[in-house]
Amino acid sequence: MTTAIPLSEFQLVGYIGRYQPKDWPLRLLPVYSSPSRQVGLLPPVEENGETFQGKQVPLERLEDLEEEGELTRLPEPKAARSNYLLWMDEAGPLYMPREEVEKALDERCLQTITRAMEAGLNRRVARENLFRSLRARPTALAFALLSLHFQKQDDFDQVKPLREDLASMARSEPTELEQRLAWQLPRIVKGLSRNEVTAVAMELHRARRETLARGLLDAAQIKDPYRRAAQPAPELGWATVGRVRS
Amino acid sequence: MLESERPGALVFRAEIEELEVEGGVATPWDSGGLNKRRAQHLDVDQRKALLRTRTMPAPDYRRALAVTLLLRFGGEPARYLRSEAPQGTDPDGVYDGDAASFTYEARLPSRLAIQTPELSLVVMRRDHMDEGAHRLRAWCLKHKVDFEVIDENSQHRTVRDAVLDFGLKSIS
Repeated sequence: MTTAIPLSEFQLVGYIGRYQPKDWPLRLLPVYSSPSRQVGLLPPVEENGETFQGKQVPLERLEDLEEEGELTRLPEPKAARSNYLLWMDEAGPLYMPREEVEKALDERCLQTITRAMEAGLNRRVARENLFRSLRARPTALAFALLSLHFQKQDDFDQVKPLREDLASMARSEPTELEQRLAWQLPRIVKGLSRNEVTAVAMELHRARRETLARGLLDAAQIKDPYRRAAQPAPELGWATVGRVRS
Repeated sequence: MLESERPGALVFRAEIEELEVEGGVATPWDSGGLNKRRAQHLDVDQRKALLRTRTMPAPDYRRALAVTLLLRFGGEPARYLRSEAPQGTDPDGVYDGDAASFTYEARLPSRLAIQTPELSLVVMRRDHMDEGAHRLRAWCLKHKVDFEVIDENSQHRTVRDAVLDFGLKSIS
């Protein structure tokens, strides 16, 4: 049954899966219950103004799901709120206004890239942080850095899906967050050799993130091989190509 | 049965019950629920007896499942996949009026390797992808197994939709 019910009748009781704080950052799939109606509400839950709509189940079903390891209960139920999201941070699950969650995820995305580069791209901790960054927000830079990480491990099988993601990103414009990443480029190139910077820039070209790739090369004071190939040399400018001196 | 959205899903071909693991069984309800909450009008011994008599070996249980789909879902397996309530009575009195929870539970006695030739589809939400899921995706690419990542640009909006669509296409 999927009748719309006022969200004031619901409380947030848990989330789907067995996720723990070590799995941060993560948007969780919330599970609600309505004590007055004796029903649980499973995701996906559609919020429409002040009502919730989703799959209603008897409260006993929530107990089944918990036993089967498919539902984790919060220590205390929380009143359901409009435009709120449940997510997992380092400290545990947090139920916060959507806007604040989105901001926090942006921050986690940037923070984990920085942590990865500080640890050194070869290290396992860098890989863990880049996966964290991608869970917070998929960015071409995190895909590109992770691709280089696996290339350095000679694990080329792991590179292929990342390149698929980079290629599919080429169909969309860079997000505001990706533009903000440009500010971090000087710090990022610090941890990379010139060859590595060039390799990351080449990965970024796959996603058509030209500005970011150029910014990366500029930060490392490397001439962009793509830019040189795409534009004619100054002595052979477009104005002169094809003209025959009289 | 696809009751709710979930972080990811693995779909195997039915042959896995014969090729990969022996000793699989099925019951026409959730056996854990029977022990703790369902059919409480029966005492423990009666519930144990019910579990014994209704447990069917794999893959033979599929004949009973096919009859169930015909009689209880009007021969439309999609209704079962969509987790719709079945028609008809509840002969064992297990569901206590909660017919929408109807399910066939198949159990394998041992752990199962995921990376097998019987794996036919993996679906995973982008915001839940970790290193393990990424490595599985790489394996799937290499072995030409479909792996769909669910995000704002994907064909399906939820893992549930992707698996349901795959199931319905397989049936047709």
